[in-house]
Amino acid sequence: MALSERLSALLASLAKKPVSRHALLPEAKEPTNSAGLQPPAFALEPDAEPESMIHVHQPDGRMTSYPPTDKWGDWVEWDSRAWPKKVARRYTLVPTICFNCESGCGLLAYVDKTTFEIRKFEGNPVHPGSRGRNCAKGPATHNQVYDPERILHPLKRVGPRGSGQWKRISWDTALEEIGAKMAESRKKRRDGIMYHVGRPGEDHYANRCIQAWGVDGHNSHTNVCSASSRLGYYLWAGFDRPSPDYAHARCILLISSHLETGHYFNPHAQRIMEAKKKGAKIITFDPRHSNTAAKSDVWLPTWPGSEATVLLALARHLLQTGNINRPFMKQWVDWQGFLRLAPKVITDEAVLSALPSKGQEGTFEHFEAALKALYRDFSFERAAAEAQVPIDRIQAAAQAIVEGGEQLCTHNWRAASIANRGGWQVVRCLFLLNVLTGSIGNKGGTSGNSWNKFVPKPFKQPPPGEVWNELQLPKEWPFAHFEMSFLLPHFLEEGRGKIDVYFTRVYNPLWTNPDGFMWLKALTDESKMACHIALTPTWNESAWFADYVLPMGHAGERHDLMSQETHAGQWIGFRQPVRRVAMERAGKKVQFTYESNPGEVWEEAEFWVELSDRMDKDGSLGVRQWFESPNRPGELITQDEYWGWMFDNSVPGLPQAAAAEGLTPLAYMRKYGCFEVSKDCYRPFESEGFNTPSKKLELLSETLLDWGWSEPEHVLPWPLASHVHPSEIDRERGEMILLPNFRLPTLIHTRSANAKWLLEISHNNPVWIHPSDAQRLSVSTGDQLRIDTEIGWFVDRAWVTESIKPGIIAISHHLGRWRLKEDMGVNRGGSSLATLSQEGEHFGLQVEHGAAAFESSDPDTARIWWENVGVHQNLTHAVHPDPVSGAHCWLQKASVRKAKPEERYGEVHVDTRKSMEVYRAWLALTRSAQTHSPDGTRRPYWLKRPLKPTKNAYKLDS
Amino acid sequence: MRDQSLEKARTEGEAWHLLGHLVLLGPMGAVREILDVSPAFKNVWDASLSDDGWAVEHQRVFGHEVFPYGSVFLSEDAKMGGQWTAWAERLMEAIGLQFDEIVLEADHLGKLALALGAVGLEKVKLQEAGRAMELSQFHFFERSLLEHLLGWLGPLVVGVQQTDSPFFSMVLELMVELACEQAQLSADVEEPAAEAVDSLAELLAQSQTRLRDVARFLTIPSACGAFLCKAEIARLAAQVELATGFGHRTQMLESLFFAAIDHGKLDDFVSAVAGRLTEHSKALANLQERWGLPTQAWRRRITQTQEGLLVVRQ
Repeated sequence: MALSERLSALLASLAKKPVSRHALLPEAKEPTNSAGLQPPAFALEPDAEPESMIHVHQPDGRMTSYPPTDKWGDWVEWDSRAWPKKVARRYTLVPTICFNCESGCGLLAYVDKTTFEIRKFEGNPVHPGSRGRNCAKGPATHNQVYDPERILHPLKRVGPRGSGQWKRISWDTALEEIGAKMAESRKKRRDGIMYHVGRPGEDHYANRCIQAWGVDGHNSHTNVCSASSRLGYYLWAGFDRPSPDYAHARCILLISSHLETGHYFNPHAQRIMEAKKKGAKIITFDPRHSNTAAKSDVWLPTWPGSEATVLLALARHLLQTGNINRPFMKQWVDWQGFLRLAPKVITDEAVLSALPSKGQEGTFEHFEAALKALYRDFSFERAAAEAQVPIDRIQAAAQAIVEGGEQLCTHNWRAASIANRGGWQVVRCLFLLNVLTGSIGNKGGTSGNSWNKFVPKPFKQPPPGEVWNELQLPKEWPFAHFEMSFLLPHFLEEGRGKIDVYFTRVYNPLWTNPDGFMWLKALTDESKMACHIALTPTWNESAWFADYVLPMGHAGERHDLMSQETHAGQWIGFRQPVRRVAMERAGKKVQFTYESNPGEVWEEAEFWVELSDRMDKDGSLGVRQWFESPNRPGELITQDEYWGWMFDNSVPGLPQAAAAEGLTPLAYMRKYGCFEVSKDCYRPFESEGFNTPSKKLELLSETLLDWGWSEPEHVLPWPLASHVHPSEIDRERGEMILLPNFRLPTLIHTRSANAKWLLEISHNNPVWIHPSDAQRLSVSTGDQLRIDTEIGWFVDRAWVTESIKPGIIAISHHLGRWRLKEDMGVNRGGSSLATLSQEGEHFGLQVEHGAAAFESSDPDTARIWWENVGVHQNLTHAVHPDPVSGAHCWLQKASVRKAKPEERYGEVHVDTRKSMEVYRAWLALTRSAQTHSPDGTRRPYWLKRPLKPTKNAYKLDS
Repeated sequence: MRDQSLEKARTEGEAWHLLGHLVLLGPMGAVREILDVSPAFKNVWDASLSDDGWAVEHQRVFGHEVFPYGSVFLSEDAKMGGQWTAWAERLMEAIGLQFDEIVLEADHLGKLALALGAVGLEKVKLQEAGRAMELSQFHFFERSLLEHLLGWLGPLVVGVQQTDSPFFSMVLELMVELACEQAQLSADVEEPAAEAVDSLAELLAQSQTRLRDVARFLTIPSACGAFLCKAEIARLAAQVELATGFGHRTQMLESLFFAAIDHGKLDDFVSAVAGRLTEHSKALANLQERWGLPTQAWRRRITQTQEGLLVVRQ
C-alpha cells in the first residue's frame, strides 16, 4: 500500500531535521539550584525477601496494612522504582509528626539504611489520633524535603531590603549577630523582641523560650484564623476550642466545612465517616457546596451572617418541643446568674414577666420560661427567610438534632465565625444547642479541647513576664483572642511603637494577612522593624524582605512535641528529625540536627537554645539559666535531655509502658513517635466544674456586661448584624459578597508551592460564581473579572458553578503566590513572576508570567504543565477587626464586573490611604479598656492568653 | 540495508520518536518547531495555542477521554497481554537499549512508540557497523512490537476520533499508517486474537449479572470491541434526552441504564448504543481499507456485543 501524502511529508521533514530523543525528552541535569541540593541516590542492595505486613481493619470498614512494629528497625521491601526487577531495600522506620496542618497526624519515614535518604512518608499505625491514615498533605512531606528550590543555608541580606541580594553565612555568624541584637533590645526594654508564629506545630516549647527571654513577645496568626470561635467558646465554658467525639455521634453539625475538608481533615473526617456509617446525620452550614456539604444529610447554604439566626431557630425548636436536657442544664448552666443579671440587661417584657417576682426565689423553671420567651421570635420561617434556604431543610436539621440528643457533635472553627462581624456569636448560638441537649462531654457529644489534649510540663518553667506589649494586645480590644497580629503594620503606621528584633516563624504575613501592602510598608521600613529574621523551611513573600533568612526543617527534620484534640482521648506525638534518628541508630554521632538534615537546615528547638545562649552569654540577663542542662550544671541542654526529662517525669504511664518493653521513655518515644495518655475522656467537668468565673456554663456573660458590652445582643447568645448584612449589599448595583476564607483540602497555608504533588492537584483559585450572576454579568468560565473591594481591585478568572450561592463569589485564599526574581524566591512551579510598583500610597502588583517548567535536580520540575497559579486577592482585603473578638472578619463587600482588555489577569491595585481609613472606621467601633475596664486592668484576667504576664502587668497604669 | 533503505529506517525511527512524544507528553517543547514546519500537520496544528493549552488538550484526550494505557488495553480485565509492557522493557534492557522514558508515565502506547523509534535507530547503527547477528535480533524485536501494537491500535484510534481532536486523531492515524507500512502485512492477516472473554450474551446468561456488569463490559475495549469515551457517552445521553451522569465511564453508563429504565427509554438507549457501535465498526473497516490495519476480530466482537444488546432490550 502506498504511503499517504501526509506520512510521506512527515518522513521527509524528519529526514531533513531529525529529532533527537534527548531534545524531546531532556534528561535531568545536574542540580541547578543555587544551594546545590543533590537528588537522593539509592544504592542497589542484594535481594532479600520483604517482610509481611500486618493487616488492620479500620473502624470504618476499610482494611489497611502496615509494617509490624517489631520490624521497624530493619524493614525490607521491594523497591518500586526497580520494578519489574525485584530489588530489596532495607529501611529503618522512624516515626514523626506531620507539620502540614495542625492536627499532628503520625507519619512513618522510611529511611534507607545505606544512604540515609528518606524514601517515603506513610502513616504511623500506632498513632492514636490518625490511626495510620493521612491526607494528601502527609506523604507530600517527601516533596518538601526534596524540593529543589528549598533554602538550605542561612542567608543574610546584603542589598536594600527586598532587593533579593543575599550572602550565605554560617550558623555561628547568624547566632552571634542576632543574639547581640536581642541582648541590646532586652537591656533597653521588654517589648522590643517579637516572635510571630504562623504554623505553631508544637506545644509550648517556643512559648517557654519567649518567657525565658523576659519579654512580652508572643504574636500569632490567631486573629485571622480562629479568634472569633475561641472567644465564643471561652465565654461559654472556659475552653477555647471544641473537641467533638465524632465517632460516637448520632448527629454532627458543622459550621466549618473548611475544618473538616482542609485543616483537621484526617483525624476528624475518618471519625465523621465512622459515625455516618453507623447512621449519624450530618448537617453542614456553608454557602459553598463543599466536600463536606456534599457528604451531608442536610446542607444549609445559609446567607453569610444569618447562621446565628438559624441556630437560634433550632434552639427555639428544642425549647418549644421540650427536647432539652433539664437535669444537665439544672446542674451545669449558671441559670442562677442569668436570673440575677437578666433584669439589668433585658427590657423585653415577655422575658421579664417570666422571671421571678421581687422577693420570690428563682427556680430553674423560671429560667426555662425566660429562655422560651427570649428566643420566641426565632421561628423557622424567619430563619429560612434570613438564610435564604428552604424551610424544610431547617426542619430536617431540627429533627436530626432532636434525634441526636446527648450525642450531638457541633463544630465551628473558621467559616462563619471568622467571616462576619459578630462571628463569635455564631459560636455562642451553636454551643447553645449542646447546652440545651446536654451533649457536652458525653460519649458522642462535644467536649472542650483541653479535656482531650495533654501538654506535659518541662523540667523548669520561667516565671510570667512583668510587661504588656501594646503592639500585640492594645487597650481597644480587651477581649481579643489573641494578639491583634494582622493590625501590626497599622499600629506601626500610627506610631504606636517599633520593633527591634522581629522573628517570623513559618509565617508569611505579607501574603497571608489582609491588606498586604500595609505589611510591605512595615517590612521595608527599618525605622519600624529594625531587624527581621525569617525562620522558614521555604522561600515566601515576606522572607524576601527579611534581613536574615534561616532555614528550618520540615516535619521529618525537627523535634517538637504535639497533642491535639482529635477524639475523646489524650495523646502526645513526638516529631523527630528522622535522618538524625536513623543515623544515631546506625551508631553515627550527631551533635546538631543540621548535620543530618539536607544542606544546613536546622530546627528551632536547638536553635533557640543556642541563640538564647548568645543573647545572654554571661547569664546577667537571667536568660541563660533556663537553657542549661538539669544534669550538667552550667552547660547547655541537649534535645535528648529536654525531652528525656519530660518523658521521665511529666507523662503519666509512659515510664511504665517503656519499662514493659525494656526501653527508656525517650527511647520508647523515639521508637513509636507517640503515646496514648488516656482514652475515653468524658465529663471531666464533674470533678472541677468549668473554667469560668461561675464554674458553670455561662449563658449570660457577666464579664461582657462588666466590660461595657452590656446590651442583650452581646451578653446573650444572639445574632449580631454582619458587616455584609443584606442591607449593606446592593446587588442591583453589582455588589456581591466575596468569600475568601476557604481552602481546598490538599493545600497547606503557604507551603503548598513546595510540594509538587499537591501543587499539581490544586494550583489556581478562580472565582466561584453562580450561573445566575454570571448571566447577569455576561461572563462564562474562563472570562476575566475585575473585583473591587473597599481599598483596591484585582483581576481573576470566573468559574461558573452552581456550587456557590447566588450573590456570593468565592475564591480560595491559599493560592496566588508570587516571586520577584525569575530564579529565586517562591517555587517557580507554584508562583508567578511579578513586579511591584508604588506611587505615593498607591501600590500595584503586575504578573509578568505564571508558573513554568524548569530544570533542576528533580526531573518533575521539567514536567510542570500548568501556568496559571492564581491571584493574590488578600492584598485588596481591607482589615475588619471585630470590635469584641478582634478577629479579622474575612468577608468583603465587592463590586464585580467583566474585566476590560487592558486589565490583566493577576493584576492588583491598592490605595493604602483607604486601608487606614477602613482600619480607623473599625477601630472606632471598639470599647477600650481605658474607658470601660471595671477594675483598671487591660483585660479580664480569667480570659486566656498564650503567655500570661503577671497580674501587675494587667494594670492599665503599669 | 542500502543507503536508501537506511535513510528510510532512520526517518521511520525518528517518526516513532515524534509520535511517541506526542502521545506521551503532547505537542510541547522542542517538538513545536517540527510541527510548525511539517506539512503533515498543517491542517491540524494550532501554533497559537501555548504549551499550557496543548497540555490541557492532551490531558482531555488521553487523561479524560481515551486512555492509551495498559490499565485499559492490557489490564487483567482487558485480557490483552497483561505484563507485556514489563516484558518489553526487560527485553530492551537486556539487549542494552537505554530506555529512560520508562520512568515517565504508565502510558503504554507512548512507550511502545518510543521503543519502536529506539529500535529503528539502533538497527541503523548496527547496520552501519556491520553487526548482522545483533541486527536480526532487533528485526525480531521490532516485529514483535509492531504485532503487539497492531493488535489493539484500531479501537484506540477510533476512540480518539470520537473525541473531536483533529490533532491527536491525526497522530494516531499516522501511527496506524506507519505501523502498517513497517509491518508489511498481507491482505488477509488477522490481528492477534484477544484472550477469550465472555461475550455480552454469555455475560447476560449468568444469573448474577447486573446492569453495572453490562456497563462495565461496554467500557472494556477487548470485551465490547470498541472504546467508548466519555464524550461519546455524553452524546449518547443527549441523543435519548437523558441526564449525562457523572463519574468514570462505567458509572456514567450504569446511571444512564437506570435513567433509561426509569424514563421508559431503555429501547431507545440500547438502540443508540448499538448505533454507536455500528459507527465504530465502520470506522474500523475504514482503517483496514485505507491502511491495511487488520480489524476483523474487533468488528466481530462489536457484532457479538450488538447481539447481546438485543438481549438487554428483552
